[in-house]
Parts: sequence; structure tokens; C-alpha cells
Amino acid sequence: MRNSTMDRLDIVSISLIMILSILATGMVAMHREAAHSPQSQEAKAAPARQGSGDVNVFQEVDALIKSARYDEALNALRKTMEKYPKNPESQVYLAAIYNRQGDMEKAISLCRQSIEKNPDLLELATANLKDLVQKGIPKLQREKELKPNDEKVSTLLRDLYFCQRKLGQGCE
Amino acid sequence: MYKTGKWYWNSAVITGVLLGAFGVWLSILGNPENAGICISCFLENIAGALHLHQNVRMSYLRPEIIGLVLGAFLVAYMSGRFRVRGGSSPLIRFFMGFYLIVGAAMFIGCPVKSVLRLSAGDLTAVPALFGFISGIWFGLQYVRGGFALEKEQELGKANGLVIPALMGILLLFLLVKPAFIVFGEKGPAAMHAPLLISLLAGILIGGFAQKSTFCMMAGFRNFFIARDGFLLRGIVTMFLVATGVAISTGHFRLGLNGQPGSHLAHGWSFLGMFLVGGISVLANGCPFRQVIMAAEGHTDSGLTLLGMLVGGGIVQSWEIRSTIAGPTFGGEIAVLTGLIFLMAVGTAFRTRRRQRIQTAQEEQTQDLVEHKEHYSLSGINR
Repeated sequence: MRNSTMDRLDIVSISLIMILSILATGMVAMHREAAHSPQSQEAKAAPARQGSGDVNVFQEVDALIKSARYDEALNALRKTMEKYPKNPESQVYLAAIYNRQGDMEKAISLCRQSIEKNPDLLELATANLKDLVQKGIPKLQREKELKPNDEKVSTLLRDLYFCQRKLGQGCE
Repeated sequence: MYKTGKWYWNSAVITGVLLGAFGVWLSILGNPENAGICISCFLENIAGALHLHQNVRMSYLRPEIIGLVLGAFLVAYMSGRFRVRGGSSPLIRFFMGFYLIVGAAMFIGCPVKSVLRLSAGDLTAVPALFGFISGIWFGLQYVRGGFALEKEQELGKANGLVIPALMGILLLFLLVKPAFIVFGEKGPAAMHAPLLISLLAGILIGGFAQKSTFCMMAGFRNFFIARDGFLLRGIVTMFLVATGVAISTGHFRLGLNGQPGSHLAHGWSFLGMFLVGGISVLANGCPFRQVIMAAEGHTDSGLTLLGMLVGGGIVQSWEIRSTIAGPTFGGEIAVLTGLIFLMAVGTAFRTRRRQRIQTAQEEQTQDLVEHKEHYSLSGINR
């Protein structure tokens, strides 16, 4: 054979195809192991929502928050949570109460957890937690400037940016 | 032909103005933030409405896509540019459509949306745009190396009417709202501009895009190959107009963090759009252009569009689409297989390579003949 049938582009392409195939196979194999881990099985067995769709469940809590009676709202919410312990909507209301009581750390953490796990809570979170994002980000940015190496502030800011991206109402 | 028009008043620039202006206004009027116009997101919405996936939050018959097809079809038909052709590697083109959506789903947006996101100050679109342009450059290496899909041929007129007719039926469904079509009432599905405005915007953009052959990929490709800036001017105009409208309406917010419908996995955004760029070159059109070509009688693009629609269903059902938290495992694997597909198709359809193989085989046969002759002669001599 006088001429080679493969040029440089062929060699590069075939090499890349092989590398990507090995990489993808490796990733799938590693993921398979992770999928069978006890933590993953636990996550799969996550409880279903309770009381969702029942608008009256949180009506009292909502009304108390709107009238700025936060301690009473917290008590009412705790009672509802005892009755419906697996209802994720309670997390949004809890975050809203903490936010209004000035406990931004707990509010941010609950906000992120609730909308990350349940996209259907986005509308509820938008209605109740928009001011957490609007007021919280400038505040945390200032804190970050003052304490650039504070890991806690960085994490809170990162979580709040996540909430902002989610509440920004872009495509999902 | 392209270079005769003055830069400030040609059809590509007008298409850019319309895309830029409506891209922001439709968001202000109700479409999701930074997604006034997005081919991949909207096809996912249509796929959901047709039960191709079960995410109700992403299920809505987007009138913009219907308008794009109908506008392009009307302009092509009236101007005599409706030419029905096809038969060029149809199955490959179907999968090209699928992987166009896989790549776009990794970034959460098509190339048009990447420009719109950047014009709203979303800097997470920068790696995606770099990825798209790099993908175009990479795809061009195959084109320069002799890549060509099978030759297309003229087909009967009825073949070209299928996609416009399909969109006509979808428009009817949109107006009548039958029970078997899903219209989500939460999430992005519930976010939409008034139907008539969205439809008219689609028709206008589709008409001008057909006339100008506007294409995100071809804008960069033509500039790389021939320094032809006709389509690139349209893209630049789209960016400038969208930025102007976003700033004037208070929708401009510069930064990486907290941008709506974005994530911070920039490497995967780059790779996803690299895939879109590369496949766009091989399929001869970006997702937006495929929609327009499907309307003007190109049945292969019709198949690519159907591949994109099926892809829209699968990226949602198989959780391939990135979320705000970042890419999913399924998405990462899908993009890697997409890159393998891109290179395998690019390599397999290089005509020069096939010619070289043919020449080499002929030479081998010749060698064999000479070899046999030599030995038979040697035998005689002995």
C-alpha cells in the first residue's frame, strides 16, 4: 500500500472517540456504584408529600405572617407540621417566618432546600421569600467584603444566589 | 450576492433587529426571563404539550415556533423560494436534531438564547458562546477535510408541506385547547406573552429569516471561511438591539451570579454548546435555521426538526437537561456521546477519505494483479 488511508484529522478523531468512550464508560461505571450506595437508596425512598394541594392547611399561618404576628405563626406552623410532617410547603413558610424574625441563616438554608427538592414550590417561595433575596444579597455582599475568608458567609451567599437564579423565573 | 446590500439595511440586519427586540420584549410581556425566543426551550415546551415528556411545568404549545415556520413558509412560497428537496442521510439528520437539543439542554438554551442571555448581562453565556464558536471551528475541520452528507434530490411538493401543515394543526390546537394537549399552569409553561403577539413576532422573524438565510452558525462559518460578514452583522445587530432594549427597560444585570435560568458549570456549558456548534456545521444550520429550512421545503431539516422535538421530550424525561443547580449525570453522559457522534459522523462522511480508501483499494488490487502476473511469469520461466 503506497498511501496511508488515514490523515491527521482521522487519527485525531478516532483517538478522541476512544478517549471519550473510555471516559463515558468509566463515568457510568462509577455512577452505577454510587447509585447502589445506602445513601442513594435512602434518597430514593424519600417520603411523598402530605396534605399538598389542601389550601386550608397553611391558611392560618399565612394570615399570621401577613399580620406580622410571627411567634403565633411559628406556633401554628409547628402544629401543622406535626399533623403533616412530610409536607414540604411547611419549609417555605418556616423560611418566611425566620426571614421576618431576622434569622437569615436559617431562612436561606430552608429556602434553598425547599425549592431545590420541590420545583413546584417555586411560586410559593416567590410570593414569600423574594425580599429575602432582594435584601439578603446586598447585605451578604457587604459582609463578604468585610470578611473575605469567612466560609460561612461565602456559603450563605452561594445559597442565596442559587435561590435568586431559581426565583428569577427563567427556563427550568 | 450577499455583499451588495448596505450593512445597515439588509435582511440579515432586519432579522437581527427583530430577534433582539422581540427576544427581550416577549420576556417583558410574559415569556420566561432571558428566554423571549429560544428554539430548544420552546421545542421542549411543545414536546411536553404533546405528551413526549411528563414535566407539566415545561408543557406549552409555544406560538413563536409555529409562527417562525408559518412566516418562513409564506415568504418562501410567495417569493418562489419554496423548493422541495431531501433524501440526504435522513436518519443521521434525525439524530443530529436530537443531539442539537442535548447540547443546548446542557447550557439551558440555544445559540439565539445565548446571545439574548449575554445581552441581559448574564456572563454565564460567555463560555457557552465560546463553546459554540469553537464547535463551529471544529466542525469546519471536517468540512475542509471533505465532509459531505449524501446528495439531496428534488422531491414532490407534498413532502415539503408536511412541516407547515403540522404547525398549522398545532396552531389549531393552541386556539381550541383540546383536552389531550397539556398546558402547564405553573413554572415556565405558565409564563407566556399574549398569544397573538407571540405568533406575530414568530411570523415576522420567520419571514425575514427565510429571506436573509439568518443562521447563528453560518454567521461565524461564513466569516471564518470567506470573511463574509453578511450574517454576522445580523448576529451583532441582534446583540446590540437586545442589549439596548434590556438596558432601557431595566432588564440588564451584569454578573455571573443569580442570573435566571443559569448554572455555574461553565465547562459543561462550553462542551454543550461546542456540540451544538459542531453539529450545526455538519447539519448545515443552527437549531433556528433548521426550523426555517424545514418551512421552505427542506425535508431533511424537517427530519432534524422532528429529531429536535423528540430530543426535547427525552432531555426532560431522562433528566438530561441541566437545572439551576448544574448539569445532571445523564446530561454529562449525553453530551459525551454527542461528541462521539459528532466525530464519528464527521469522519465517516468525509468523501476525500472515502476516495483515498477507494484509491488505496485500487492500488492494492493493482499490486495483487502485478504480483500474480509476476509469479505466473516466474512460473513460466521456471
